[in-house]
Amino acid sequence: MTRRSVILLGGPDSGKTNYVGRLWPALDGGEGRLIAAVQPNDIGFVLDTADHLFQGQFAPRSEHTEARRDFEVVVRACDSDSQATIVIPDISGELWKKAVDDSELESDWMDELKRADGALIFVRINSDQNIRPLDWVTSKRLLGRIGGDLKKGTPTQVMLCELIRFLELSLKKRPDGGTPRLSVVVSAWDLVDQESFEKGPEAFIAREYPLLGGRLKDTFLDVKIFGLSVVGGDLSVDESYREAFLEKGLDGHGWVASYDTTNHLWHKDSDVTLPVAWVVGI
Amino acid sequence: MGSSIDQAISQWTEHAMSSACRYDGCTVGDTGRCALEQDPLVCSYRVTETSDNGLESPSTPEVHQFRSDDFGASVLDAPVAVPTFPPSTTLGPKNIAEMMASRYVTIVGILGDPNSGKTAALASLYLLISNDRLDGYTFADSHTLMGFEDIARGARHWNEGNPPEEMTSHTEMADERRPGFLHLRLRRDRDGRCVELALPDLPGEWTKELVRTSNSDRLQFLASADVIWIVVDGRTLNDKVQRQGVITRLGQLVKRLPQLMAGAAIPRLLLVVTHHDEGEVLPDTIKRVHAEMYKHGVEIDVIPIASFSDNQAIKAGFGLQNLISATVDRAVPSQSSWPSVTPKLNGRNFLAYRRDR
Repeated sequence: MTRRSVILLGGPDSGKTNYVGRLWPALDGGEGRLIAAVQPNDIGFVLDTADHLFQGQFAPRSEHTEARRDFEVVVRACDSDSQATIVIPDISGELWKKAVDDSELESDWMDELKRADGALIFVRINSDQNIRPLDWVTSKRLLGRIGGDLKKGTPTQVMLCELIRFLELSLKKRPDGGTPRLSVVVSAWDLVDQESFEKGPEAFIAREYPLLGGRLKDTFLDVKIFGLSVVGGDLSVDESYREAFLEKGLDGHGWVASYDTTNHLWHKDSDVTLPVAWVVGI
Repeated sequence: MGSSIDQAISQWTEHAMSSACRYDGCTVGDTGRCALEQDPLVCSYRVTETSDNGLESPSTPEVHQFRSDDFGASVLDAPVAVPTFPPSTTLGPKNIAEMMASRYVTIVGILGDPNSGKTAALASLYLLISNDRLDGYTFADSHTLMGFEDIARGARHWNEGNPPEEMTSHTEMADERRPGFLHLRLRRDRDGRCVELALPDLPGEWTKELVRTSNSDRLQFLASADVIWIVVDGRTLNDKVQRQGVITRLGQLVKRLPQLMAGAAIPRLLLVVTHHDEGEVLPDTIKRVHAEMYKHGVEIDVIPIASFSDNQAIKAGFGLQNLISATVDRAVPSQSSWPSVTPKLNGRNFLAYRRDR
């Protein structure tokens, strides 16, 4: 059985940790495309994260976590006996941000990136950590050296494009010889209105992150885009939803928006393992 | 030599220790003699001061592991090399040549005096793309995305008055702005095809030097350029006092170009007139520019731009879409496939059609 490393990338507050916390109950539940074959030895990290969700709140940002936390689990496909060990390292968004700013990545993460043949890249709607592209007013001030917020940092879309470049440089081919796969996950997708939902996360990316939208069409990586809602609603502001969620529990909450190629429509699928299942491809 | 070093170490260690001793009546701190007649360095009653919390046994590794062999050894450990990705700041001519081996890259030469607006034009082009406002094109890729970001942010400046002398030979780290190429791949909306541009980011002093002293070695890459942008500050063309000098220098600049071309024809020239937001250059002035170019046997297309704008009527980024289209679209004069001509008697027009053209 092959060991398959799946990397989660994204800036701070992009939804990576909450997804990992939601993924284990989904794998364990056995109703998705991927099913946990055996209970992993160490599920402390995912249980800690899932605990936040069980209590009706999102997990806090994990960028100040110093110790490396991996989630390693043997999974099998729902419709076959093929299995794979997937390792999902939880890498803080700050680490990726630093990698883009300095072009440097600590050696164990670099090794992990080179071992991987697939990745999930996260971007979250309405994140207060989102950095907009520069505008002319700010740029003019900066160019003229008459002030301007230099510390504002690299825009989110530039960072994501750079992360895709890193993946292109690092990911290896899949065991079947295919090109590495990349799931692009737009998290908090439950926050968009019906019209945006119907247009899909791809259109959202093209509008909000034009550099990323263009880049995703110009990469040799095999790309698929998903919308994600880890619990199906906003636990932080929607009190009635939170109450209902706490009453009924996590099961049945959370969905993935995926594109149906038969009717060319975006639809909700309760299987939150889909973005990982597609990357693993068993 | 060895003994003097040992003596120095001995004095140093003595100094590092306090006079304190836990053995009642011992004066080792003052006399250097141990009351128990033991070596003071290893006596278990001897104590030393630590910086923060009081007392420590003299057998601290800091004192006892210091040997004369350590002299001349590295003071600090070598930093651990952190793996890096190739930075996406600037490309050298070799990088562009490698790229061109697999696909067509339009190489643009960008010339212009200091402060003519070359960097501002590149910054504004990047802002148009990153805000999805470059009509007719969308971003596809850039191997120098962080380079564009740095330029738009004014994060790297030429060393004023003393800019770098040479083009970068390879991809540089981000700590210094080096002359080199910025790379951009754009997808053209009308046909979905990608166009790829290599845009040099050069100090204006290089153009100035080229005109004044014919110093052209570092601009040899212009021989392989598909098109050359000559950037001129539109305000200087509108200023009666400066106008004549500017036009003359433009003429002298194009006159220098043949020596850079290594025998090849001069590529298409585009006169990029910046600061359009502060006033349109008068048609008469443009005519004078054309006349000056004509004197030197070249034609030039004039493209006004406004990289930034304080003028409500003109948006920032004005003209850059025209500039990109003029750069990537081959300006092939259209020919009528079967022009109307007056038949000549016995002229055998059908057979002679191609020969006449």
